[in-house]
Amino acid sequence: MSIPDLESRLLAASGDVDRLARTLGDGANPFPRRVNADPESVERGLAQLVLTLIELLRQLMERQALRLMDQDSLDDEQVERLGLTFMRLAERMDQLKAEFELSDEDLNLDLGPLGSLL
Amino acid sequence: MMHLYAFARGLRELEAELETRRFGSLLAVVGADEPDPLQHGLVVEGLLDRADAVLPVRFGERFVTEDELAGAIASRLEALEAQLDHVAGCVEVGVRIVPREEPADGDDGAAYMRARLREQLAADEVHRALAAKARDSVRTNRDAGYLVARADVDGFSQAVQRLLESRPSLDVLCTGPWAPYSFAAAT
Repeated sequence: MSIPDLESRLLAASGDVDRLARTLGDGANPFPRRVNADPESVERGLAQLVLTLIELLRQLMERQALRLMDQDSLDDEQVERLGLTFMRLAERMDQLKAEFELSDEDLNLDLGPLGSLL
Repeated sequence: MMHLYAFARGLRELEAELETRRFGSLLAVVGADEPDPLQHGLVVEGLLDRADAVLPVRFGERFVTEDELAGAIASRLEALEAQLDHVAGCVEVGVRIVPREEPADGDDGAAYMRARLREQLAADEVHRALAAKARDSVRTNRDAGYLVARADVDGFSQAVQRLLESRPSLDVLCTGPWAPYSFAAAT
């Protein structure tokens, strides 16, 4: 029994396919990533976990805000303020990721059968 | 020890290490081996080509005795039969849509929100159009699974391609055909 050729399962794609592939996680290592508890890297491991949770919350809040905006439940000032907040948050996340040398895929925890977090 | 791989109907042949047990109109495909998740997936994929209908079982269903297996299935036999009817002749096509999140102008919060909303609505529209072409669909945040008749997979992926050409702001990946895991029972 051999592993099927994954390229044969690609039906269609558009845009930045390399970026998409990174969102899928590491196919060669299907087991959940763990926080590395090595004393040298424990700080980075914890930062990875905390930033992952913040990124999840940022995405959830942004989606909720967009839904309200789509329903015309927000006035112009609220939209402006929310937009600025999300922009600042995204900038700050990028800074923190750079500081801890984490990439977007590092923040995408594999939850096994539940799929990936982000 | 028995490991449960899938339920099937119209099974034409079976690999040597697998066995079946009949429950109502279902065949439960079981094996004595203890597979890892990848082996489990490959067995299910293998069944897809050899049966009229395959309802995958998620990895990790193990039973010590025949009675335990029968007990687990008896209580929800009708639901399983209905699910197998639902996926008969179909495979799953997966579509992941990730908005490009083009950075907006420095200090314009409203422009940022409008850009995100446009991307979100474009993604919603693609999913709605594809769901209309599928027998069934499920969607989480960025991923959607579509239940598509095996013979329609080519037509479906062409429809995906056409939808994408008019939406350059989305990064989209369409893969398949897969066993219909998203439409299988939680076990």
